[in-house]
Amino acid sequence: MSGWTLVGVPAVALVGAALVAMLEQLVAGFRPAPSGLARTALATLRQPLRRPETYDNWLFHIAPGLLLTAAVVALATVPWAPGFRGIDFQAGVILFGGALAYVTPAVFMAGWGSGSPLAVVGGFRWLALMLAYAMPVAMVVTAVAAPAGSLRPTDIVEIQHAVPMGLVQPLALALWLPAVVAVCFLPPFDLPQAPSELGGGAFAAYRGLDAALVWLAQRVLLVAVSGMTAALFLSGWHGPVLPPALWMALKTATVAVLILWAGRRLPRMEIDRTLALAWKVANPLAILAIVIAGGLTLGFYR
Amino acid sequence: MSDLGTALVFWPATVIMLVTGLYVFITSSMARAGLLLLAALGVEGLIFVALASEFLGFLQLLMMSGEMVIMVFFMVMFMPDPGGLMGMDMTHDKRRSAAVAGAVAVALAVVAVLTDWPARAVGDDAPDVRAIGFEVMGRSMITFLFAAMTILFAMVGGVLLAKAGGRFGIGAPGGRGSRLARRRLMVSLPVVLAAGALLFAIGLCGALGQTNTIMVIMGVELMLGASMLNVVGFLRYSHPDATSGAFFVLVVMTLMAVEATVGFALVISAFRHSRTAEVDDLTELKG
Repeated sequence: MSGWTLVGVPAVALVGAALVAMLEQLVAGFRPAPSGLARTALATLRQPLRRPETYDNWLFHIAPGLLLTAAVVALATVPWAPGFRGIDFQAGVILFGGALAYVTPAVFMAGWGSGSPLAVVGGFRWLALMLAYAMPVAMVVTAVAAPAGSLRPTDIVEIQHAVPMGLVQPLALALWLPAVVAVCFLPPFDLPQAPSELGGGAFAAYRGLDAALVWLAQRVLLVAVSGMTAALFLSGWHGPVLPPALWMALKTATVAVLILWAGRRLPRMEIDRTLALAWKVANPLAILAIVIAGGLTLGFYR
Repeated sequence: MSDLGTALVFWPATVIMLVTGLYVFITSSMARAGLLLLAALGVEGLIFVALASEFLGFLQLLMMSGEMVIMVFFMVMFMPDPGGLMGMDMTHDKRRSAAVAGAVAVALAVVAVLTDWPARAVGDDAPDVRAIGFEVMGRSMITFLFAAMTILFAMVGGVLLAKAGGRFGIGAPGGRGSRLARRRLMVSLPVVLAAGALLFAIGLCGALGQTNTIMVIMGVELMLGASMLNVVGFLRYSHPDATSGAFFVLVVMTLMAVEATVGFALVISAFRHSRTAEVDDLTELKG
């Protein structure tokens, strides 16, 4: 942890979230309009907070904060450039997974705390979905960490100076991408919200600052998982000619655009089929990915 | 992390851990109880990080989130009053369990403070993650494989039990020397052990005094959490190079998962059989 972690990480989070919002508009086919975005943000912030009429309504107001904290901690573990790496722990990728794991209770708290039936259904759906998709994330992290022989994200970036891990382990990348999209509850995995079935689901009741925090947290999550994808699979800051930080930013933006574009193109599946896909396909394949990673490590990375 | 940093994280985190742990058994809303338990055990993960066991701390954060969220799910399913709206009394033997827990807490804390623990000069660095890896994949591999098989059996057995038809059918560095230590702010081994003792007592009180099986399981989880806290304390203050200690924490974490799996399967099975998950009503073995 360096002196400007406390400034740098929130700055990356805010700028990243704003950029993601503009990318969203771009992918949707509109011209990005920063002023319109700022107006919407201000209008949202000016709305009064909502107090749900339930016994547990404090859970309702804690949830956005927990969500944002989880997103920012996850973002802080992403290594951006050799000089700027947020918090650099020996077990950084475990902290990344650990931070993402707290999205689960946050969304559940939002659904339970708002107390309306559809929101509670959204919260419970999310529990089932996240338990199924958090496992591939953890297992794929193991598969990527094995060749580097380290759980430190910077070491994993360094081991890819010649070949990106995504080329060496395409299976791991293919499992990782849908799983992290599920963690961000973006379409096609936006089952806790599901505008067309649950009418906003877990977050339907949020107004004002609460709604703005949820919105921000979701964008920061997207920046964090795109950045981690770039670091773990696309060789991070390595690249010719351009400076390292720029390479990292380009790769992160590419992953984010890919995720947003896929979200617009792919249909949302029913919850039971989404779960079946995770338990019957993704989890067994993730174990296979670990076996493959073990072979690669013994064969090429020693 | 420096001694001061450890102290700054340890004291507030310990207070939060003990208070949330206690409130698990006081609140009547089940969503609250489960999330408070998650808070207690998650904050314990932060304490691990402060005590220089960052790998174990992050793993604790990761594992507890999933486990406690499942716990919430089960509580909402099996408590007679999950929302806490009717003000039901969910305790029995209140006085006796509080007395037993208090006695245990005092005894453990006295032992923790009065024993002359071996203190060794310890570096501030975290124990090497790589060393833990070699421990798990080397000397302790058989044990860990055994733990892994246990959890596999627990999962398969749990699913079978829970199926509708049953199984047939369908030493602180410079601790005395520094000024802060004399002012009792510094964290030392007895302090960590005393915090562990209190957490253990809270868990014991819950396990003895609650009537619902899921709440009893939560009490046992807190007791296991207290044991992990003690091991991490020993790891930090007297045996920094003992990777087998870190390994032991991993085994306890696995054990918590196994305990929850088997416990939940038994609860489902008992609920199917006698339509209740209250300990006081499950009296078949009394004959």
